[in-house]
Amino acid sequence: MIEQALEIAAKRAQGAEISLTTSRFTNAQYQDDKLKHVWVSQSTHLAARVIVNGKLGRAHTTDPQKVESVVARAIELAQFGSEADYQCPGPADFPQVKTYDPEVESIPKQDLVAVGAEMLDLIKTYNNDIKVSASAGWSVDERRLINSSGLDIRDQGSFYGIGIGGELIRGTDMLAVYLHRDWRTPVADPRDLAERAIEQFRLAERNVPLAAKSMPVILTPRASSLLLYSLQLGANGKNVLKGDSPLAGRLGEKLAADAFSLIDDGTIDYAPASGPCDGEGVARRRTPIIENGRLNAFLYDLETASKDGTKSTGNGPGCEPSNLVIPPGRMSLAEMIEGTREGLLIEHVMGLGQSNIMNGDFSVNVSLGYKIENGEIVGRVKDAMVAGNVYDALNRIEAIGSEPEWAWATCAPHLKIDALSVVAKA
Amino acid sequence: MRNRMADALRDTSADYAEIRIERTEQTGLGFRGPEMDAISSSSSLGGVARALVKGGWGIVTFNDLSDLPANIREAVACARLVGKEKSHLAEVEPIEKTIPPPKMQRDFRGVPLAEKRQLVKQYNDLMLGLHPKIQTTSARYTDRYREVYFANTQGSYFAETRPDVTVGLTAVARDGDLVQRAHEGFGRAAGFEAALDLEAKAETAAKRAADLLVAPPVQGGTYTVIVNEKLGGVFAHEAFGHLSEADAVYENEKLRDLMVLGKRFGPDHLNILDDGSYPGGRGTHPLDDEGVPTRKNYLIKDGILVGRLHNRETAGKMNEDATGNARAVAWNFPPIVRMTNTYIEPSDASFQDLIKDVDLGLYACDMIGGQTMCEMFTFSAAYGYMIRSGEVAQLVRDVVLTGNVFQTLKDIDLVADDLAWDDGGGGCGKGPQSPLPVGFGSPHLRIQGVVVGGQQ
Repeated sequence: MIEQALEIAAKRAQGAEISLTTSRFTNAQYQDDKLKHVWVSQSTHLAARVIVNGKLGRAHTTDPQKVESVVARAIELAQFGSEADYQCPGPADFPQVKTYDPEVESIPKQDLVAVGAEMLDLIKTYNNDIKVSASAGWSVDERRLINSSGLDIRDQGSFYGIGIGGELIRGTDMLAVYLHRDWRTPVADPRDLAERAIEQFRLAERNVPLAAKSMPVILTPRASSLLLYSLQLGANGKNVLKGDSPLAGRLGEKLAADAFSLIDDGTIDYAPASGPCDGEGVARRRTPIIENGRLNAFLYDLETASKDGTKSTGNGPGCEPSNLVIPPGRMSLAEMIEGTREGLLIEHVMGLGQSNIMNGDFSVNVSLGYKIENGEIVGRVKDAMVAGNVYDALNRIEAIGSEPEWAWATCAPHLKIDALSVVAKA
Repeated sequence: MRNRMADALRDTSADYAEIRIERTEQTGLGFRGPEMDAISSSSSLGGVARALVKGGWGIVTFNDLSDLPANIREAVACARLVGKEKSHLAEVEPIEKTIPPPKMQRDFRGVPLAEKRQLVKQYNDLMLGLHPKIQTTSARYTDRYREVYFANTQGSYFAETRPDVTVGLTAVARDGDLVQRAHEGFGRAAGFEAALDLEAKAETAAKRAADLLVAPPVQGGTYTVIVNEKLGGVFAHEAFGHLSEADAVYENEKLRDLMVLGKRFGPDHLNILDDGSYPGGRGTHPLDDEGVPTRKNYLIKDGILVGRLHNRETAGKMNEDATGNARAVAWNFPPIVRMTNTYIEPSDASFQDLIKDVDLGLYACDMIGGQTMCEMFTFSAAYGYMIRSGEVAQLVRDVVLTGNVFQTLKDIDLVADDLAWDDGGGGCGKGPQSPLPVGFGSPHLRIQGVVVGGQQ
């Protein structure tokens, strides 16, 4: 059926691509100590991209019966589309990367319910006052992508994810903790994740005051988004091409501490954003964005690459990262804390993306963070904000942790920044 | 459609079940800098079946509509794994209604693409040409035509058509490494006519981006802050509104104690409401997505907490009235408790009354975004001005406010008389359901002792 659509499209268009994706998921969701729902889903997406007279048109539908009208619509839109001075990629050597584990979709609903209950019980045993939220679920998708250059790819993906946390209210003081783990194989260990959540609750048992000043800050793997959000906008080839990125024209320049590297890698087995190719049929690969502190590469899709006289890095469409990896360093978290006389350990920030993020400026609320005094965590800080600039902070990375963790498609170690400005309510 | 939905619901063993089916047609196009950026069209058809068995929900979302009875059976099977108690939904009168679309002078589905493109190009060119420091722009137009069909086992049926037009205009100014952006938007449930005549917004965005290049960042610290109408509306929505959503409260005793009706939350002159029936609001619907009529709901009246937002389940379990706040963002989601049009009522102070005795303060305007976690909030003003000796002084950038909502509501010491609604076309996110069209409104507010982020 989609072959016919491609034939129809190819008659009018110089380039055409049709993809058909079917997805299914099942999950069980707990909130406030109770199982709230079990949810099952099925969906289909048919997308057509055509290049007519050097311009791109795109159309999309959930109804596979509508394949002809979607192609017609894409061709109609193309007369007003963006310039697309490139060819659809032909067959290529795609990386042998694992993205599907059949075991995932064999997990029955009852087991998902049971996994949630197991994590919930562990949290309640630690502190019955915590109102617990939990989830467990899987999803699978199947895609076929064909284009007018002879590409014909079928791939399959699977995900298994669990989440656990809760809310603790003491008077008007609230504490929320939520951790989740997602992977393309069912490896997440509910007991381990629940114990990590309990550890967060333990560290936050006491609230401590914090004086406003500049101090060392340790970011946990989950808080590394504070730095990565701006960096991924800055490394986005389209932002570079348009001159929005402050990194435009700065390849080869020193951007971060020598020990810091950042790699886009879509070829890691079973990692969330891995696959043989991107959404445009270009092979996924490993692209070091920052290597030993120096800006090494930007991320490109077909359109942006053709305009910038370079090649797609397999990050299309949109020049967005696949998996982002910060290679680990040598210092353990315990050593980082031990070596801090007065500082802040940040687990979670709120308000990211609200300030001038492209510039690298940030000013965020420390929604979950702990004060360090004389080498020990002494309690949770509240009503505090940290502010600074990502491109300044990257040069102030004093230590890189030895215990990297995945949070969705990012794998980061702990990062210690020698000084950030902290604002707190007295 | 109606008969097929009714047939599928007829013989179910669930305590309650419903089907909602949506058909959506959407077109979007935009410029980035001088060039056409992307143009796309999407059509979707899909639905969600929900079943309630012994107080537990089963949900099935699908876009294969060939076997609705099977979707209901699957939802019931899911619900059986969940339910352990008694099902209890607030009583509502069954409804039967076909709701026509709001008046469209020109149905956007009949407007040629060339005309839509020309309109956006015109706004974009205005921004690009306004100031030499404008580096790039983004101008986007989107229209969406959404047909919703709903039926439940209690005999309710409605069909509603919801058109939505949005225009988003962003200007980016650059001077060396310094990049500043400013955004103006517009959204309305209306026809193509609503997207016309927005030149003033394009000019405002471009001028502000250029002006912010020479504005210093605000110095972090604690300030007396006057927030303008748009920012006041976001505050009411983000910081307070989400805590009023009963799904967070109904099975959480501690939070229920904190949010107990009758408790003082602010000064006498503070009134906060949510009203899904407000004429012309962006979050206005006659019925919510459970078929419950929307209405005007006071949340805080004269400083006292008097109400909260419900779906049928939370209202039933808390023995309160259903408020018409169950909403779903698209075909592939069940309805959850959401706000509609949230606003702070005007009081009697003038802007001059708010500012005249502020020695050193901040006038924070519009918003880039807002976020809450429990009682903590941060919201980012799009721009601000220092207040010195009772007067608006220089423009400042990077204004991020943070605080504890309970304290901040108490610290609103003056409410002005100048209620205004934001027409910016923004949406609300709750979990994965984003962006849901909502309305925000407020008069100017003065708040004491607000923590403002920034370097010191």
